[in-house]
Amino acid sequence: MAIAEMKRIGLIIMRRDHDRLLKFAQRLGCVQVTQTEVPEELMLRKESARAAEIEAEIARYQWAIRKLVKYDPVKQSMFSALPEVSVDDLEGSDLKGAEQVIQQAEELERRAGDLRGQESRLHVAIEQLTPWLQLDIPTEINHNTQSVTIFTGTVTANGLKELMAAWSGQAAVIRALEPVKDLQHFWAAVYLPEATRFLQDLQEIGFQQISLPEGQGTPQAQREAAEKALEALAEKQKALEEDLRKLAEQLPVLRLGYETLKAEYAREEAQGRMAHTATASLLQGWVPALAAPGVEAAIKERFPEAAISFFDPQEGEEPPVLLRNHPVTAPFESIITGFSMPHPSSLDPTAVMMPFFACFFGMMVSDAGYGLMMALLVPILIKLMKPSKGGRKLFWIVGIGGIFTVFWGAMYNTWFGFAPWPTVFDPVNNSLPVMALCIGLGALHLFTGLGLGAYLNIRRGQFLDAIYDQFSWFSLVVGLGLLLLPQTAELGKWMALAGAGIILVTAGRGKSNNPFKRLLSGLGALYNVSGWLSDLLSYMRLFGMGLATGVIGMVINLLVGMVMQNGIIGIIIGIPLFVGGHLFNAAINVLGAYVHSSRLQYIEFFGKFYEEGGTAFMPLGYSPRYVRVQDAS
Amino acid sequence: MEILGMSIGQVLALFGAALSVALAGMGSAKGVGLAGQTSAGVSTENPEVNPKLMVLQILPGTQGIYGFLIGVIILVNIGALGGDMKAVELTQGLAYLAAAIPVGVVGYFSAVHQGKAAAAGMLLVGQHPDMSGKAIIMTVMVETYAVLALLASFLMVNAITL
Repeated sequence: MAIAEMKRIGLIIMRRDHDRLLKFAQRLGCVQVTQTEVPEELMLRKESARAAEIEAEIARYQWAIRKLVKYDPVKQSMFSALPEVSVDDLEGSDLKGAEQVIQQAEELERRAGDLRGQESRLHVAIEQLTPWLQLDIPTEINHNTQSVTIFTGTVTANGLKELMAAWSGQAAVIRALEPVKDLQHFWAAVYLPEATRFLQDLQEIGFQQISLPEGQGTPQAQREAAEKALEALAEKQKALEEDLRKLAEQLPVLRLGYETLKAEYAREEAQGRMAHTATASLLQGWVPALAAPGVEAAIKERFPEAAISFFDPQEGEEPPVLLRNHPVTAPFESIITGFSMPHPSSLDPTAVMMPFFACFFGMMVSDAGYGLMMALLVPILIKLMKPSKGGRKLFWIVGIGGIFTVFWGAMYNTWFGFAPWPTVFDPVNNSLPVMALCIGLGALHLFTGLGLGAYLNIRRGQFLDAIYDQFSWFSLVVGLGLLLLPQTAELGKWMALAGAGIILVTAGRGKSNNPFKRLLSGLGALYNVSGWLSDLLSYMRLFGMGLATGVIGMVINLLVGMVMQNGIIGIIIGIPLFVGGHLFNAAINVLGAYVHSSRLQYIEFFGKFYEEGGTAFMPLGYSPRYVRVQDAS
Repeated sequence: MEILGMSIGQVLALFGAALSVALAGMGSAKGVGLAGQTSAGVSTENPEVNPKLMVLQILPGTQGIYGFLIGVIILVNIGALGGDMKAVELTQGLAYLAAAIPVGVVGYFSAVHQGKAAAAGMLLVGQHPDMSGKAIIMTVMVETYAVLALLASFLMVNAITL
């Protein structure tokens, strides 16, 4: 129920065995290999060029998987089960097949790039031909001759009209073409001796020379040819897609290859952290203390000449953090790790937090019908979908939260938005008791946090700190609360005063030796009363979110009731409306409840005691993304 | 005073319901929209984080639900849903209008700002997928004020007796 105790492991093995050892350690999955520091001149460190090689390979695999996943014949959804493989598959999978698939994918990518290039060239050609489409002269004969000069380009539209008028009846043929944007294209053939004069006239009206695009046939014919070529290209692209689709059938091979490489990379990395001489290898690392005897026995059995020893962590050394909890509370570890790992010298609040989290979750979802569905569906879904470890934790949180939801839903008397029985807590019509309940639970939560802080201080032998930092606040806040009731006001007054006094005098300790400055920081600390107020108010969200679920559920039922009155059609529309509406309401509220319940832990609860800063225990093992490793027998 | 069979008080109460639904809904639409755009952008860069972004995108949507909630409670309380509206005095109508202000106004602004926080959180998740928990918490911080406004509006609506 806490942070697992860690032992240092030191292991010396024959150099020739170290690959085998790492494979075995990877199967065990409970040894974290740390960097072995040794004087450079003493050791041969096997340069891990292979690691960089594998990394590059992994990048290729990833590229190919991403490329092909669009064409995957088996649609992967968030909820589909991952294929199961054994450790032997992962260690010994043959990469030749996968390599072929990648090469094919790369080849297809080259072809696709080629096709894209051709396509854009054709588009450019069509673009360039557009202004000249009206020209019915094949381009290959449309050039200067001995006696005629050809002019092509753009001029201003008005200028061209005047030019045509001025030159009509002279030795020039001028054709105005389709204007493109605001440019007037034209074509002119002029008798050679007149050409210079014609050019002068052209320049007065903004002549820009543009040559016709090269090609055979009239521009119109060329354009048709280009369009035909585009169609052919589209066909080729379709064929290419078809090839990709066919290749995507090989995705499982690729994924397995990817995981094989990933596992090899992890071993290679661990290998780089070890130290090696010509004949021996030294591995240093961390093992959970509970697993240590098992690890020793298992390694001794397979590697009789290995020398293993375990040590306690040295003073000042920070072991990695592994959370260990009862199976019921263990899923809630992910709430903690989602925030930050606790410091190794601190505590793991999972077990204490779990009832609060589930209770708050239930209060916010607050519909017993939804709770029942969650509690019943989760085990079935886990059976069907076989989610990964992390996914399973999330499922169980929702499932356990569902049980609490049934309880609170029954208290609020909300079953799928209906209220079939007499109500214990009625947030809509009699909201004050429910609000008081929320604040009360909040106070309990906050004081539990304070208690954990006191426990930490006491465990470290700092009894006075527990009085100064935790007991004082407890006394002050409880005292202030008691002031509200006339019967207990007198007691409350003294408790509050005592608490405030302790804080005033002690909060500045360790900051300064000047008594005046100490008092000043004590005053500053007292201001934190407002922080407690806002923390307590924050628990009103339990009420607000619960209310939202109930009222929306009620509105859905109201709407469905109205629709249902319209005979058979009403029933046909009403039933999906009922199911869909409540599914939507449940989904949005489960999400909201999860997020807000987390927030109450992170900000309000953890704020009272949590010491973060640990690094997670990362044993050499398998953490596949695309497959599920069978539980080793 | 009655105009076309409805008292001014009733009209004001309807205004209150409209205000809470419309303002909070506008805010949520804006917030979710903004977050959606960022989600699309981040997903093109890093498609694998998309499921994590969905949660962030939904968060600014709750204000619209809160506004809708208050609107419906007002409608239920004045009997507008049964087709047989209760008599609402002018002052009571004004009170309904006042009760709609917290959830409407705070709902609007908190949804917009929550949308911005969600968008920024998405950029964070795009770079560091393991930080998604923190990004969600940052975004949820904004929600507190919407919840408080919802409570204030709710208490006010419940305080009005017809």
